[in-house]
Parts: sequence; C-alpha cells; structure tokens
Amino acid sequence: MHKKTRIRITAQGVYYVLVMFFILGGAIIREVNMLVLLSGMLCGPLLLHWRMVKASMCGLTVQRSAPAVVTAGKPFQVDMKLTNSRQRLGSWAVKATDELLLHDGSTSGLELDVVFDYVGAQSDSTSSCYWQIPKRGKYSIGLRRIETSFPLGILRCFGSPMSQTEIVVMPHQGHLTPQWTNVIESDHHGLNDANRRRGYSEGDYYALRDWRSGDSTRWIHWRTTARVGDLMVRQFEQQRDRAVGVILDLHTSEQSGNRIDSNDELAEELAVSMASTIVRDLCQWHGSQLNFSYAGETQNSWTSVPSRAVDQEIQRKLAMLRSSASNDLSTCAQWLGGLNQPGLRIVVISTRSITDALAANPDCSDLSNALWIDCTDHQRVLRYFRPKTSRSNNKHAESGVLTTPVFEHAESMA
Amino acid sequence: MRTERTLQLFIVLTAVLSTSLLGISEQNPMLPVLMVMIGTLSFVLTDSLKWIKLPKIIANLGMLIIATYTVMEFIAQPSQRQLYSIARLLVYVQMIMLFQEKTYRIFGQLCVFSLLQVVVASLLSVSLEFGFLLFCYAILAVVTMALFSNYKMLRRIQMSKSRRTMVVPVEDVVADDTESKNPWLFLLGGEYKTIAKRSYASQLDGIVSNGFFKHMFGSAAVVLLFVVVFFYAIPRSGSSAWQHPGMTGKQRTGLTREMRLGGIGNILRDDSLALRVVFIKESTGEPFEAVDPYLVGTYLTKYDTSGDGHANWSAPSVSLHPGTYEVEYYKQYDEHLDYLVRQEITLELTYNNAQRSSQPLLVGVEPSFRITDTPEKVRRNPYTGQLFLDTRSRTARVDQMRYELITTAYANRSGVEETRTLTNQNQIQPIFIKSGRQRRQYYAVYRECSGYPESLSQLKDFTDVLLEEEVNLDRSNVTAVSSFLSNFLRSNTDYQYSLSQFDVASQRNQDMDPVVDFVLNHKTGHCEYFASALALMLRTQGFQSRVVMGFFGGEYNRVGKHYRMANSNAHAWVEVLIPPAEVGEVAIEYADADLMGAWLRLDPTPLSEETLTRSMVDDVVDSFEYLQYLWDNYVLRIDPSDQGKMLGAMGLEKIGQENAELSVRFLQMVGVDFSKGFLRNLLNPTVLVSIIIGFVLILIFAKTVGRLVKRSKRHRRKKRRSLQSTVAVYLKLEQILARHKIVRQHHQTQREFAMIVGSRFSTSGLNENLCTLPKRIVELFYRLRFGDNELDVELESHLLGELAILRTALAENSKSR
Repeated sequence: MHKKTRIRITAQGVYYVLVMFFILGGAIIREVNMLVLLSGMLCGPLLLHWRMVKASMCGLTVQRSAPAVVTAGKPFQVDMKLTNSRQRLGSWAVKATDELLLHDGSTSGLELDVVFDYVGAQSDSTSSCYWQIPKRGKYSIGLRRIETSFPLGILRCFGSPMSQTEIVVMPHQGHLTPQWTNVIESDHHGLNDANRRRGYSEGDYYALRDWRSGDSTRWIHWRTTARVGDLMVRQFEQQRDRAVGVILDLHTSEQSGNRIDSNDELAEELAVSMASTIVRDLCQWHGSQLNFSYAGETQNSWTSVPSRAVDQEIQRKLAMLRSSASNDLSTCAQWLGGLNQPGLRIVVISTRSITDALAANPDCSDLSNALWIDCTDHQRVLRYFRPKTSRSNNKHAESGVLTTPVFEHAESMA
Repeated sequence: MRTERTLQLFIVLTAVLSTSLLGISEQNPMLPVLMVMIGTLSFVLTDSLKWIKLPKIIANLGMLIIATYTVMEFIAQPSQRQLYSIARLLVYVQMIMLFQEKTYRIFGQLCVFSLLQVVVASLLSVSLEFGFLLFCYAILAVVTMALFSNYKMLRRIQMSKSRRTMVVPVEDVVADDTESKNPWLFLLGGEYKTIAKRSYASQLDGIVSNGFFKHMFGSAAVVLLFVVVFFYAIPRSGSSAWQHPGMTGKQRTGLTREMRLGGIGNILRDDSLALRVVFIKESTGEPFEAVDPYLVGTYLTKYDTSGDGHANWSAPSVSLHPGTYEVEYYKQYDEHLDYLVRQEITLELTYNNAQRSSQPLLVGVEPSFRITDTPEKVRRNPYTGQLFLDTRSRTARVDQMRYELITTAYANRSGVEETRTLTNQNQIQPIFIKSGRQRRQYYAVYRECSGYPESLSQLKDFTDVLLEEEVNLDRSNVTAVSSFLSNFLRSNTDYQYSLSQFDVASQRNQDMDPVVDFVLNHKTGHCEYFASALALMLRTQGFQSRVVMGFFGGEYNRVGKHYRMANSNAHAWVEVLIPPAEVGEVAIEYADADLMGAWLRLDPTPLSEETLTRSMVDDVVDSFEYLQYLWDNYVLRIDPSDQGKMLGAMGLEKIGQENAELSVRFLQMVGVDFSKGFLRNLLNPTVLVSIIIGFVLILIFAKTVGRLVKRSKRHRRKKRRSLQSTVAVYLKLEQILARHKIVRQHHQTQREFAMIVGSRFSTSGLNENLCTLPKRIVELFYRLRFGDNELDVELESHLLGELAILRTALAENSKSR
C-alpha cells in the first residue's frame, strides 16, 4: 500500500494563525514584550503540532478484513486493523475513512469514519464497524483517506492509500411457503405406508452410500469404511423430495433499452431473490440433487449434490446476474431435458408470462408443463415465496426502507 | 462522557484563569471571584445536572444588553480605561455562554474569548504573578485545545449522518389491479448504512485515557522552553523603547514639579513601588551598596504665598532650545575610575494629566551624567537641573522607564562633616563652570534661589534671634549657619514629624504663611514643611537655598542587591549654595574651569526612631521582590541593547552584530530602514514586494531541501538494500563452498580465498565460467562494499543463477568422486 502524506491547515488552524500573526504584528509594531511572549506561546504549539502530526502518520498501515460474501439487507461486520511500525511514538485519534464503491469503481457516496483512539509503538489497534447494503451486486470497500490532526486540530496530515476489499452481496433471502414445499415433495412411490417422516432431524437409518461432498462426518459408518476402504455414510431418510429442476429466466423487453423500467427491475430482483432462496433451501434442507439453470445476460447450469460450496458458487453468480432481452432460455430447457431424470419437476421462475416466453422460444415447449412463476405477478409469487418477516421489516417494507436491530442499537449508543 | 466532562471542566478553568489574569492586571479581585462562582455554578447546574440551559434567544438577548452597557461605559471612560471596558465585555459574555448547552461551537467561542482576555491582560499587567499565571494558562490552554479538537472531530463524525446513510429512493411502481401494496418494493431501493461499533463517547474516552495527559503536559513543557528561546531570539528593531505600554492608567502619587503647603488633610502612606535602583561600580561591574541614597527629582526655587494660609514652591519655567536639553557626558570618563558609580534605575512614571504635554520627571543621584546606554529620551533642564523623559516625539505612554546614568557622588567622603548617619554619598556638589552659557545659567539659578516674600518677616526675625543666641556662630559662614539651623529643626523636640495636618488644624492660623505658622506656631509637619522652613530661614539670612524633592532611603534587597523605593520614600530636603572658600578640597578637579561654589545638602527632617531587624520573612520577601525585578528588567522591558548584551554574554554578540550590520546595509540598499519606524517601512511597496519574494524563496528553498533529503534517504535505503544483497550473495557462495568443506581461513582475505578456490575449481575440471565465479563475486563485493556502487537487480539474479549452477556442478563433482 503506497501512501504519500500531506499536511494541510484546517479552518480552525487558519483562525489560529491569523490570531498569532495579529498578536506578533502588534508586538513588533507597538514594541510590547508581553505580546512577543504571547505570540511565542501561540507559535510554539503550532510548530510542535506540525512535527507531531507528521510523525504520527509515519509507519501506519491499515488492513481490513471483511466477509467476501454477504447477504443483501443484512448487516455485516468489517474489522479494520491499524498497525504502527514505529519504534517509539504512538498515534492518537487516527481517522480512517472508508467508502463504498460500486462495481464499476465509482463511489456510491457512502462513507464511514473510523477512529482509532490510540495505537502504541510497535503495536496495532482494531476497530469494527457494520455495513448494510440493500441491493445485490459486487461492491468494494476502499480506504479513501487516513488522517490525523492530533493533538491541536490546527493542522491535518493525511494520506490516500490504495486499499480495497471486494464484497459480493448476495440477493435477499425470503421464506418459501408450504405450497412450495408441496411442489418439491415427492409422491410416495412404492410405499403403502403413509408415514411421512418429515422434519429437520436426521431420521432413521435407511441405507449406506458413498460419501459425498457436504455430508456430515457424523454419518460416516466406520466399520463399513474400514472394510470397503472408502468412506461410506449412513443415509437416514428416504429420498422423499422430488427431483426438481429450477430455471431462472431473466428477460427484459427490448423497448426499455438501457433504461430499466422499475416494474421490470422489481420482477428481476424478485425472481433472483426467489431463485436464490430456493437454491439455498435445496442445498440446506432438501434433496439429494440440485438442478439449477439460469438465463440472463449470461447462462449457466448446475446439476450436483447440494452442498455449501455449490450454494456459494450459485449465489455469487446470482449476485451479479442481470436480465437481458436475448436470454437463452432454450439452452436451459434443453439442458434440463437432457438430464433424463424421471419425475423431474420443472419450476421456471421468470420475469415474463409463460405465453410470452413460449412465443419467443418455440423450442421450449417442454416447459409448458412446468410450474411457471411469473414474477411480474407478485400475488402469484406470494403463494410460494414471501419476504422475511421481522417487526422492522413490516414497519418499513412499504416505504422501501429496511432497518435492523444492529443499527438501531448502534445508533442509540452513538 | 467522562472526557466531555473533563473538557467542560478545563474550559471553566481556562475561563477562570484568563479572568484572573485580567483581574490581576486591573487589580480588581471581584472579577475573578465572580468568574469562579459562575464557573462552578455552570459546571454543576448546566454541564453535570443539566438543570439550567440558557436558550439561544435569551443568551443572545443577554449578550446584547451587556454589549450596549459596555459601549456606553466605553464612551464614558478616558482612553486609558477603555481597554478595561472591552475586557470586561469579554468576561460577561463568557459568563452567559457558560450557562448555555455546550456544543463544540460554544467551546470554541469560549476558548477564543479566553485568549482575547489574555491578550488584553498582557497589555495591562506588569506583575510577576501575572507572568507565572500566564505560563500556567499556556499549559492549560494546550491541554484544553487538544481535548477540544478531539471532541470536535468525533462530534462531527457523529453528526454527519448523511455520509453514513444513503437512501436509494424507490420509484413509483404501478400498483396492480387489486391495488394492494407490493411487499417487494424494498428489493428496488433501500438504505445503505454504515456505523462504527463503538460509540463516540467511548472513542473519546479511549483517546484520552492512553497516556494523553502525560503526553500533553510533556508537550506543553516543550512549548514553554520554545517560548523562552523564541522570546529572547526574536530580533527587536527600532528605538530603545520596548517599554511596557502605559495602559494601566493607575493613579500614582509621586514627583511633581511643585509643592503645595497649607492644606488641612492627611498624606496617605503609599507603599506601592516607585522605583528600583541598582548601584554598580563602573570599574569592577560589582554591585555597590550605597547606603541611604538621595535621589534627586526636582529642584524647587520659587516660593509663592497666596495669603490665605497656602503657599507654593515651584520650579522656574524657562523656554530653551531643544538642543540644550541633552544630558552631558562625563568628560573625564574612564571605565577604570574607582569613584564612578553606575545607577540603573527603573522608575514608575507619573504623568500630570492636567497638562497634555507633561513630560514625566526622572530621578537620579546627582551629579549624574549620561553614558552610551542612556536612552536618548532622557533629558535635563540645564536651568532647573531636572531630569525628565522627553515624550514629545512619542505618542504612546509607558508605565515604567528604565535608564542608566553614572554619578560621581561617591568620589570620597571628605569635605564636610556628615550630618546624617551612614551615608557615603557626598554631601557637597561642587559647581564648576567653563563656558559663558554655564555662567549665565549659574547666575540665573543664583537669582532664583535668593529672596523671600515680605510675608516672611516674622520668620526672619525668628531666625535672627535664633542665630544671635548662638554666640560662637560665625553668621557669615554659610556652612556653619545652615548646619546649625538644620540641626535646630531636626533635633529640637518641639518640632514633631507628622503626615497629618488634621491634628493641628485647631492651632493653624490661616492668616499666616504656612511655613511661618509651622515654625512659630504648631511646629508639626512632614518633610516638606521642615525643608521649606530651612530653605526660607536660610534665604532670610541672605543665603541661596532651594528645596529638593526626590527619594530617600528605601529598602535594600540583599538578594537582588538593589534598592526598592516606595512612594512613601518620597522626601524633601534642602540645598544651600556655599561659596568657594568654604568648599574645601574637592574630589574631582576640572581643568580650565572655575569653582563657583558648591551645593551643600541638608536634611532637617527628624529621623525615625524605629529600628528594623531582619527576619527570614524579609529574605523571602526580598526574593520575590528580586524575581519581580528580574521580570521587569528581563521580560517586560528587554530592548535591543539588552538583547545585544545577552548575545554578548553567550559569545554571539559579534556574530550577531556582523550579520546585523550586513543585513541592515543590504536592507537600506533596497530602501528599508527600520530605524525610521517599523510600520512606515512595512507600508513601503519595496518592502512588501521584498517580503513576498523572500517568503516565496524560503518556501522554494525549504521544498528543495526537503526533496533532496527524501532523495538521499531513498538513495541510502537503496544502497543499504543493495549492500545487504551483495553480502547475501557472497555469504551464499561461502555457504555453498562450506558444504564441500571449502572454508575461508581467518587469516585469509576474501580475495585470497577466491583465488585459491578458483585454482581448485580449475584443477577439478569445472568450466572456466564457474572457475572465475568466486573471483567475480568477491570483486563485486569489494566494489559495492567499499566503492560506493550499487547492485543491479539483474546482475544479482544472474549471480544467484550462477551460484545455483555452481552448487549443482560441485554436487555432481563430489558424487563422481
């Protein structure tokens, strides 16, 4: 991190210097020794302050640690560590200004001043702060300036180090309704027993299978593993969930061009948010197979065993995904068709109606039987997907402003 | 919160201290006491308990009322007191602000007002306590300012919510047919938020708790040291003024050019300082303890009586050419002369406000002469012999005047019998005349000192009778007669010394001349009556006499070795003119000059009976008095010549002088001459342009020097890195060789070792490049280590590559063997 320090006089310092010169001038013109003494008492602190403020900034480095991936609307903590590599002098009241930069590098206008009260020689000091970003995307938090004007506030020494931390903000997470659960729950093929064992516990032992990424180590059957030579895990419940294939269709009309209509944008955000929640749900609680594909500005597909790593990867992609007028829905449909999974239940989350989609993509006729969730119709969406309910959210949701207990508490302390 | 409370406390302390400084200057203790009360109340009621918080409108109204009152007071005051009004305005405004809720603006304004009060107080005060409190104030102000700046910074951060919160507005979304609110609107917009985890109060406490006060007090101590150096190093130009401005407006008693007699009243004993005088032997430079000196202020020769019980002594007013007012140099001056005594006098000046052009009287032991250090403004009236301060060319009044004269009054003790105890100041002052002008002056004075009003005939009769009763007295001998009369007044128990005329008011005869009334009637009075009586009695006998007003006695400060004289030491005595025949042997002869006679000093006032014994308290008092003396001389009144002396004491006088002369000549070349006045020169366009150019040149020079220093640091850092790399390369070579048991012996130099290794490699069959590698590395090592060269990064990597090849080759070689 390259840092070049500069010293500037503050507004308070301008007044101070003016007063000092006024007194010194008066002392010389009127030949009054007491005023010379007084001007010395003003000049001394100024010179001392100049040296101190310059020395305080030498040898300081700032490191930031922030989560690489966060969720939109949820506060996250960023830690900043200031290290003083000097042998002797400590630094007081060092202010680091962080700013939030958008994905294109432009500034968002949001800044935070973090003050390190004291960092001793050859030591460091950590200060934490909370950030909350309401919209998904890629951001970076950059250190705009580090400065100090300790002790007298007459001069200010600052440096502009280049230090940025990238943060990917995942889409908002919501709640999937019981109707959604019905969609993805399987029929009880071959079972006369209507004993539906559902829930979030591991359930009874069912069978042994190979270990897969994402399996808990507690499930490992060691005796079998020793015999076979490969990790074997207990499977605790039957394959209750149906094979589900989710397609995210982000389409925008050609007429809007560069300007995105707010309805379209809302539909896009809703679709992405729902898709993100579904993927997370599938990865955490349901299913032994994840089939997901999206078509927007880019197109991508996954079919794998649900795991945290897969979830993270998909969320990162969804964070940056934008709709397009020429998204490739056909490829998604073909890919899903090519999976050859019997009983695959296809769910399409789209920003347009099924009629429009099929009209634009005649070769996607397979999707006509799919569960089509048109995100332009928010009532329909609400059947399967609801926003996360908290007292604050209910209060502010209509105004479009979210707040969280973390910020309420922090602001009350401030 | 703790720190905020500390800041509030420090602000109150600063306000109290600055008001105390003002109170000391004004000698008004009520102001600081009031501020202490107000400060305490505001700290408790406003800052701590928050019971009282003056709303802005009421505070502004209060300030308006105070400002109006102060303006009216300002207009009504004489010019010397107007500064007090301004200072009091600041104090009252501060008092109102202390009861307002403290924001950082209020804190800042309180600091500024406090500083302004100190500026005003600096102009008003001359005392040592002020200086001590000023240093305390400086320390307190530095700490307060540090607390304030941190508080302000954190408060601003806390209040700048707009930068920590950014709301992205949600555009209107068309409602669907059901007209129900869309619960997903928050996806479009929202609030970007950020906040620090710790509250600003805890951050402020954190700043202050980590050795903050220790650091700040240490910094304040460094600042004070700087102040001392700055004060004595800053060049002082202009005339030898640099006296403290006469802004105190104090009403002092002191010397005047006339004496009024006959009033019914008390003279109040005023023990405030009138002057300090140090006597130094000119030949040795050592302090000289002159015992009970008489310092002459004014000679009063003209006696008028108004017939209503009042009379008046005055000095003659003579209009002279300004050139004749010069104080003479001692023509026989030689610094080795044993009898020359230098008197350094610091006098509290009194101005006769009734006369706008009054020129304050100065005092000195007579006969006095000027020396090179005597200010030009010290003048003498040749007829009256009075020393005075020439204020015609100065518009600013000064409170004190410091000046130096030499005197020959301690030449010897011979001549006349001493009439007072333990004085070694000559009692006679011979009059030598060389020129016709001097002769004319002498005769003018002679005439002035003769004669008496007809109303004093009773006094003459009394004196005649008195002298007739002394059968053995030679009435033609001036010395004998004057001594007799002086002794008569002093020793006769009928004559009582008293400062009060109230006691004898009933015995007073308002139809009589007051002096005659004193001598014949009530016989009670102070030194002026005794001196007037003697002088007039001598005149009735046809002798020439005059009353002298000045100072006598005082307290000798053993610590500072100087005399401190209060206003109560003002005294009147008599001088009578004795003929040449009675003068006797004089201590100093003047060639080509006629001895016209001498002035004989007589003091008819009875001596005080009290005897003083010194105690430890006196030593302590003397020490403080000496500190005050040092403060007056080395702080308040230091002038260019004093600075020159101090530089000389440090051995820097010549250097300073040379540079000063060169710079003065240079400045005069470009039309700048500070001896004509600083302000006038400052307004000269040439000076302004020179100052701007000079400033720019200094800036450029400083920046260039800074860049050169940075470059050299970078160069040194690079060299150090390069050197480390070179040593590392060489050490690597030694390591590789050591693995194959090829080790440099202690007695071998690197070059010898390289040659041996090279020849071993060539016998081992290694290629020529590798054989010469040790030699090349060592050569490079020498060049860089001792030859001030730098190692190229490419070369370094090339060498490291070759060392890797060498390592492999040696390994293969040893395997094959």
